[in-house]
Amino acid sequence: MDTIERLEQLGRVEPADPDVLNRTADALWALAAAESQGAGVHVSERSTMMTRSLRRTGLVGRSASAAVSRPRRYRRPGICIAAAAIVLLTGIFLSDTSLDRPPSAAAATLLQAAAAASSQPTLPLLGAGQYYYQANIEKQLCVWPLSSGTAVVNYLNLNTHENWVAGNGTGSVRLVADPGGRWLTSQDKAKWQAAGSPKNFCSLTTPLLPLGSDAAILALPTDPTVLGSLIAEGRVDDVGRILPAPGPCAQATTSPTQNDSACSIRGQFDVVNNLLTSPVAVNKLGAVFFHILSQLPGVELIGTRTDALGRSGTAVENPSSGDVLVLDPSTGNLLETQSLASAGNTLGVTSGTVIGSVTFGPVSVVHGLGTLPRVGQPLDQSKRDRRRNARGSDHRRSTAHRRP
Amino acid sequence: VDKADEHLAGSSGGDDPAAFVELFWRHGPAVHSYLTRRAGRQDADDLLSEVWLRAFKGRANRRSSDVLPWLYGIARNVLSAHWRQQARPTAHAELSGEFDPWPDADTRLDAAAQRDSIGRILEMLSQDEREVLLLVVWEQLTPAEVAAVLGLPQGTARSRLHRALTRLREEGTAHPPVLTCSYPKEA
Repeated sequence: MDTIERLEQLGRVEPADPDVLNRTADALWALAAAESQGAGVHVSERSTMMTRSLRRTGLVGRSASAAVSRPRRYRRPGICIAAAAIVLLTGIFLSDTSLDRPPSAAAATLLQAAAAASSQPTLPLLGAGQYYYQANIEKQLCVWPLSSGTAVVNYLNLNTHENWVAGNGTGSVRLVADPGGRWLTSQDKAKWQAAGSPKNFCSLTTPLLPLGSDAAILALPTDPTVLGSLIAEGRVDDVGRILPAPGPCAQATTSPTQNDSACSIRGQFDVVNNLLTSPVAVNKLGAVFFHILSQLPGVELIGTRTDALGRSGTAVENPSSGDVLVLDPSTGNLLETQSLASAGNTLGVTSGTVIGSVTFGPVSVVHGLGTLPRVGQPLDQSKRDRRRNARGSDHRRSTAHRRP
Repeated sequence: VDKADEHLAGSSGGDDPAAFVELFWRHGPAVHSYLTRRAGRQDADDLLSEVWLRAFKGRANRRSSDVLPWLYGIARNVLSAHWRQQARPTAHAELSGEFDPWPDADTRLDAAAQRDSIGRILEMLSQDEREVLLLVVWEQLTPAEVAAVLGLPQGTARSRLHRALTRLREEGTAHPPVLTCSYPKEA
């Protein structure tokens, strides 16, 4: 090896952390959005318009939007891609942490789902160059200021969020805008038109972008008691990293009057809900997560819901945050997550209106990033699995996947 | 000139500012590596946003037709400002970052032994020669691109590169790296 080669070798560095890249992308989105709207906003002010980091897009970084323009009350499940203000949730929390009450109807449903999920087959192992592919339908409340920032409008964005995840948790994501997005209320549309109908950054299609790794999720403990304790202590963030000390969950959701630093019930539900959006999380840890949710006080059964794919499921809600899980207790499949508008919201919609949702599509195995599954080849074989269950078939050989 | 880069940069300066984000995803990792090699990983993490925000603000005034050298030029300016606030590291120090870039243990042992000797050779080069050399060897830029980064005539960049490479080869031959690590003897 000559000197040049040795010098070359010395210049090798590890790739940048996706979070670092996401932060910068986040800032650029905000600048682009502000400029597009002709807003002469200072950079530091623009940063407050950034979308909350939902790392899975690779578009927005988690750090950037600590300051937000509106109360953190209307949680949006899944991904928001608008380069505009994001609604974060307020610090409403429940301090009730007692776990010795009899199981509620919601807890019973979740435990049933956990039991069903644990009996489902795991995802097939991937070969070289293979990825899990999942397309999720997302409705998201996109909140953005118009020009000077004095008028804020709400758009219910619709897109398909395509994930490619490798066996080690790395992968890519692509967002495909759907024309079915709409203004949340007629007032929002009127405000936008009055501002000259500026370009709507809420709906956009992206190229294939790097995905924050799900490797941390794959490494989480699988004992519900252990993982539940870590989450309750605020030591698991919403991409599955175990923190050495209580992290943002505790900081964000603990009231100043609360003495302990534990993650609030709302915060715990929030973390688990975010983790469930990972294609690999539900498959590896779905039963564990459902079990953990069943232990959270205050979670309520709210009845039957039909998801965006027309599937019927049972819905449980954390009333403190308006977060809803729609699941099929008989299979353990998570069908959809929803965010509901709260009573007294300032959005101009009635309490309970769905202001965001993620509908989980089937998972397939594909060969290569950006590759789509062949038609009719998703791993959505839950019905077949149930038939096999009834016959006592060996599921371990099945390539079926318990996600819907 | 990369046509896709040129298109994205042009669009971002027109009616589609968001095209700049795609430009970021194309070159952000490379710029981060550039910063890491020179300032260490922690500072690189901090400086990356500054580079790109400056680039976004200055995209309308971009004179270079090639986007990547333009970005490296901005990164270089950001680094200079960063170093002005701190003591500028020597070439030797640039090679002894806190990060661990060598995944393979054997390679790491070998490289650790070589770091000192190559650092010494780099310090023998002028700062200008060293900068040209590292842009070529580490960032894989062509001499023409290096000239664009540094704002030099292409001929000047080529001659500096030639001098640096000649010096490097001569010194490398005259003073081959000495392996300082010892391996356990076989029983």
